[in-house]
Amino acid sequence: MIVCMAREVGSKDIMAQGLTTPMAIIAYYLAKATHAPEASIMQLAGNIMVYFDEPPQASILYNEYRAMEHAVHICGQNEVYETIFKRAGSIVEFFRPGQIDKFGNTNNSIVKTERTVRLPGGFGIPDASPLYRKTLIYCPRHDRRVFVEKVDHIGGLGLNSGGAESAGREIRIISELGVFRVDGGSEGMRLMSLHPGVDVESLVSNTGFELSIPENIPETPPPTGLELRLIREKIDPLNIRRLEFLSGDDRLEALKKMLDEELQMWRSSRVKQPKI
Amino acid sequence: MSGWCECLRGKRVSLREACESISDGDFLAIGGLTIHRKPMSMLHELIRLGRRSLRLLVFGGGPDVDLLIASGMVESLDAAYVGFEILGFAPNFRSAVERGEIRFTEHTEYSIMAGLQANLLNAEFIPSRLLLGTDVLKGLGYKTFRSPLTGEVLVAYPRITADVALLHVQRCDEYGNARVDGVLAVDLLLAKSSRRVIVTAEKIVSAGDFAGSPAEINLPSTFVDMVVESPLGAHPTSCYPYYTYDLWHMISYLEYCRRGMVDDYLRKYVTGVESFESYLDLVGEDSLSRIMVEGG
Repeated sequence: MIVCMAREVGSKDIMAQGLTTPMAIIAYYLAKATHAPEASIMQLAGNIMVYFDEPPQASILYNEYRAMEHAVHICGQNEVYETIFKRAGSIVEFFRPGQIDKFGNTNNSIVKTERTVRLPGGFGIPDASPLYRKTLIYCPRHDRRVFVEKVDHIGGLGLNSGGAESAGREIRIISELGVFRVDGGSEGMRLMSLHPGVDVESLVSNTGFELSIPENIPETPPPTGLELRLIREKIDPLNIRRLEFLSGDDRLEALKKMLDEELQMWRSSRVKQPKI
Repeated sequence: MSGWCECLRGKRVSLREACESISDGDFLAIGGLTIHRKPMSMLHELIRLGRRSLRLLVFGGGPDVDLLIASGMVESLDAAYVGFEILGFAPNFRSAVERGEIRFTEHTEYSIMAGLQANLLNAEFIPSRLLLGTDVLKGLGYKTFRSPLTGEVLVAYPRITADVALLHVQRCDEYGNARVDGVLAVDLLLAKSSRRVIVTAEKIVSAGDFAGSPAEINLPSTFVDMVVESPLGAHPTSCYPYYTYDLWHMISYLEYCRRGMVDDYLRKYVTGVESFESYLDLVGEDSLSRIMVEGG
């Protein structure tokens, strides 16, 4: 998934990270270390713009430190949006939704099951989704609770309104099963490629609406050996990316282990004195 | 000496005095972002003082909002996100909203920023096309109108003015000239738009320390009313570069909540101690040494 996300980055793009989204930051580091060395990165809600020659290691405990060690600029949210408004055509920002529907509407607000479940909130997703020429979504968990017929609450606008807002917009979705797009056609979300090892039946049964599936289904090109090595050895040796696939107790256990490992690593490495 | 402007007067007070200046029913803005640089020592003191019916404005909330809601002090909340980031949901926020125990208005980054920036421009509202067509806008209940210039439909994002803004910063002098570092979120906007601003600082430095290095200051004293020295005042949230997030403590807090025992947490760590220093003693040196970063 991360490699697919990294592939979305163009050589002169600005990669922006919202809240949390560790897989996004790993993808950005990978992109910069491979095909997009001149791309910029704005981390931690876009507040910190970083520059590096070597990809830093992704971190949970020390993400702000890693970012600040490489920072060329820090700014508040208003300035982040100044960048977004000016450079919307070249920003790559990955959103993770609670729900996404057939036309690419997303929801991070409330989910209506037997009772209403309050999610943490969309933060900037509703603001920025329609501004980007290509709205980028990632869904580590592809199941019927995420991929729904119609979202319970529209945060990020999809492409069913058909109005001027939709013109020229594309929504690209990368999930654990494949790569998809929505681009204003009446058929809604279309499969672009299926990841190696995934069968169509599994995709269909895990999607809560009718996906438009081509006759000949392309297979997503797998990661290269270099990309895998970079991710596993340099950028994310702690396997932080795995957290995004887990939930509940599994996630907590994995996280606790990761924190102890990170603490050990930090203590035994040489720490660069932060500038005060 | 005649000619000194009002901004250059000593504003240093104790944590207690600062919090006593906050009244029941106040519209309080809390700075920081989720698990970064939250003014926790002030919030603990407010809980001990038993303030009620607070109306909160929080850009990105986390342990701060959750703790205040758990203590029953919150009447309403305006926020664009409330959660513990990688640790997941904010449990008391979630259940209070689901049960209708507090009035919650879901914002986005833009709706809060525009509301704050309207103050900075002395404008009644900010007109924009953003959020048209979303259910989030419906939830906000903001009015739309036709632009007198182009005739297109626009949203009127009303000015949002907090009574008091609470910010935790790295360094501040006794006049309120401050260096806010790391993730800034909307702290500077809050300081410039709120009626009063209380700053807790890891370190209070001498006024002369900043003179000659104006690039160091990003929050000038003209916007600050009270200054409090509060080392580790953001715990368990982070304060770059001094300490990172105490995720272990947050995990423990979430465990209390999971077991329906948040009142026990409050009694142990907040109402059962008389100061934030005592709270830090309880957290313990071993735990704190885990999060301190060399060079801080």
